[in-house]
Amino acid sequence: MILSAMRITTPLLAAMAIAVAAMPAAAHHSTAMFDASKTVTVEGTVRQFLWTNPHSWIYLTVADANGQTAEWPIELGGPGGLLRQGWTAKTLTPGMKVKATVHPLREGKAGGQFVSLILPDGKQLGDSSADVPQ
Amino acid sequence: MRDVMSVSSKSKVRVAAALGAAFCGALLVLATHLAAAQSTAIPPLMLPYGSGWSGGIGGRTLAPPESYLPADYLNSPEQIQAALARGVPPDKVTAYLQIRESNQLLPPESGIGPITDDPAHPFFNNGMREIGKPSTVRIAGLDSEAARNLKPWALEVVKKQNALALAGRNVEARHARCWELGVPGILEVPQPLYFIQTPDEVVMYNGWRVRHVYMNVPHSKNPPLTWYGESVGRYDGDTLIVDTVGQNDKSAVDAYRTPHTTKIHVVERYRVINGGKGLDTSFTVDDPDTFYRPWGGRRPRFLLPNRPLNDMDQICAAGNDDHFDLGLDPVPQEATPDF
Amino acid sequence: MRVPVFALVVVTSAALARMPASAQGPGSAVPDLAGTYWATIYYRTAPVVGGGAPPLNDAGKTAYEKNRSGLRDGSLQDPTRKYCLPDSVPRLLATPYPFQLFQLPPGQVTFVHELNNQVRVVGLNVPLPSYDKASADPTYAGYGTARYEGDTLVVQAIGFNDQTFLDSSGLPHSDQLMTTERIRRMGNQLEDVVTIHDPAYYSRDWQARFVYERRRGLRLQEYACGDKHRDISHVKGISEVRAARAQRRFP
Repeated sequence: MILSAMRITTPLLAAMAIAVAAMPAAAHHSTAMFDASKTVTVEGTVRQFLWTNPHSWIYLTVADANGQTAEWPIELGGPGGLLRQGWTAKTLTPGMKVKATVHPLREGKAGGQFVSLILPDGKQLGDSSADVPQ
Repeated sequence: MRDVMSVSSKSKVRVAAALGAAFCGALLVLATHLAAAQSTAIPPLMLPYGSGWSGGIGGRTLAPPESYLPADYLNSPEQIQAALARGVPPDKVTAYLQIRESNQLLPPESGIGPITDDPAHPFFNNGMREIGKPSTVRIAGLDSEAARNLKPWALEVVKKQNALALAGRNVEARHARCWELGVPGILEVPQPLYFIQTPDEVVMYNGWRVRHVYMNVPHSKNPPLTWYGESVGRYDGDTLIVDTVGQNDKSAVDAYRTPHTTKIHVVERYRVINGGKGLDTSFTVDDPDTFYRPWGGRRPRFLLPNRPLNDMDQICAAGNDDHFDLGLDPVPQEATPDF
Repeated sequence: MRVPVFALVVVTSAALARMPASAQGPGSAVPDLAGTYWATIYYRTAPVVGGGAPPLNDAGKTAYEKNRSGLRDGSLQDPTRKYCLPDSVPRLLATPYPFQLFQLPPGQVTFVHELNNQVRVVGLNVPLPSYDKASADPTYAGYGTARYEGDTLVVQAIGFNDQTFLDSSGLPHSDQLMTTERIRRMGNQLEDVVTIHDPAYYSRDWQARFVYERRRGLRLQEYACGDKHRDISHVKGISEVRAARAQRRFP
C-alpha cells in the first residue's frame, strides 16, 4: 500500500517523537475547579473520546446503583503528554467499558480531571499532562 | 563526435562561456549580498520553520530566566518582597517570577503598570505546582497605582469580576474561553508567537489568532471597529513599532477583565535581545475614557526552537463547552453555518 | 555548440527576477507564488476533476449517508462551521474568503486564511510521518510536507482526525486519508489540484480542482466566530447554498 512505501527511517521518527513529547501545551483554564486531594473511581461506557489540544476528553456514560445514567466529562491533558503514557487516538472507542479514576469537581458534579484508567483488557493508563498557566 | 568547430570559434565560445559564467556568478553574488543586506536591516523577528517565541509554559521546560526576563524584574527588591508576601518560599522566588510571567503582564520600565493580583488573594497559575503552590483564580488588587488609574465605571467592572471569581464563577480568562482578545490582551497569551515579515506587511500569529500589521503607511481615516483594530508599523533601528487604533470595546486589556473603550490606542515595541535568545516586548495603552493616565507593561518571550510538528493545531474551541456548568463564558460559535 | 552569452545572462536574470524575497539561496529557483488570492466560485461539494461524484466505495457510501442524515437531523455536528474549527484539506481549499500564501519564514510555506483565522504552516522538505505514527496522533490539519517541483508547489499531508469532512455535504474520510496538492500560478490565477487518497472509503484516487484570482492590495479581515463577516454574496454559489440551508435542502 502506498503509505507503507513512505515509511520513514527510525532515527527520524524518534526525533519527531521527541519533538512531540516535548510539546508545550497551550494556555488553558485553571485546574482550581478540581479537588486534587481526592480521587473517585467510576465504571462506565465510552460515548466519545476526543483527541485534541490543549485537552483531550473522555465522555463516559456512568450508571448509578438505580441504573440511572449520567454523563461524566473527564478532562485529560493534550496528546503530547498522553502519547508518553502510552495513549493513542485509537486507545478508546465508543462502546468500550472502562474504569476511570479522577480528581472530582469541588462542586460535586459529575466529571473530573483524569488520573488513571483501566481498559477492558485490564491494562492501566495514566496521564502526565504538562500543567500550564491558565 | 567530431569537433567541427574551428580553433578560433572554439576559443570565442570558451571566452564567451567564461564571461557568461563570470557574469552569472556576479549576479548571484550580488543577489546574495542584497538578500543578506535586507535581512540584517530589519529586526530578525521572523524565525525559521521549527522555532517560535514562547510566552512561557510553566514547569520543566522554561528557558533560563536571565536569557529573556529583564534584570529589574527578576532582581528588584519590590518584586522579591511581593513574592515573599504572597507566601513564596525564599528559594523559589526566581522560579515563581518566571512561571508567573508566562501569563501575567510585567510592569513597565517606568510609569503606571498593569492591574495585578490582590496580595490577600495571590494568583498562582497552573505552573506553580513546580514551587509547591496549588493554582488559584485571579482576583484583581484594588489598592494599587494601576487600580487607582481606572475611572469609576471601569473599576466597577473589575470589582464585579472579582466578586464572581471569589464565588467560584466566571473564573476563566477570556482567552481560555476562546474569545478574541484585542490588544494588549493578546500579549499575555503563552502560546508561541510567530512573525512573518515582508516589506508591506508583518503578520503575527500565536495559537489560533492572527494579526496583520501594515508597514510604513498611515492609519485609515475611520477604520471600522474590530477586535484587534487596525495596526500599522515601522522599524526604528532594532525595534518593530506597532501602532493600533480602531478596536471594538468587547475585549479586556488583561486577564482580570479590565475593560476599555473604542478610544484605546496601543503602541507596542518588539526587539530581539541576548543574541537571539529573547524577544523584548513593551507596550503603552492610552484610553482617556477608561484610564486617567496612559499606562504600560512588558511581556518578554524566549526562543523556543524545535517546536513540534502539530504546534499549530492548538484548537481552543474543540471540546471546550462548559462541561461542568461553572458559569463559564460560552465559547464563540456561529448561530447558523456561514455558508 | 555555441551558447550565446546574452542568452545565458537573460536566462539567469529572469530566474533571479522570479525569485521571491524568501529565496532559499543562490542557485535555487523557487516559483513565486506569494500573494493574496480569492476564489470567485464556491463549491459546496468537492469539484471533481472530470465531473461526476467522488468514487465512493460501499463503506464510503455508508459513511456518507450516515454523515448526511446526521447533519440533516442535527445529531451530527459540523464543528467547522459551528465553532469555526479548521476546515482541513480539501474543504479549506473551497474557502469563499480570501487567503494569503507566504513563502516565508525560511523553511516553510504559510497559508493565512481569513476563514476561521486559520493559519496553515507546512515545512519544506520535512519527513512525512508514517500512517502508524500519524493515525496515533491525528490533528485537524494533518501533518504536511511541501516541496517545489519546477513551477509547482507540492503539499502532501496525512494524519487527519475524525472531526472534519472532505466537503460541506459531509463527504467522509478515514484516518488513511492522504492529500497531495499541486499548486501553481497560471497568469493572474492560482490553481490547486488536490488528489484524495483514502482507500477505506474510495475505490480509487481522485482529484478536485480549485482556482483563485490574485488580488493585489487586498487586506484580509478578521473572522471572529459568531460575528458578522465580510460580505461574500458576490462569490458564485454562496447565495444558493445559504438559501438551500435556510430551506433545509442542504446538506
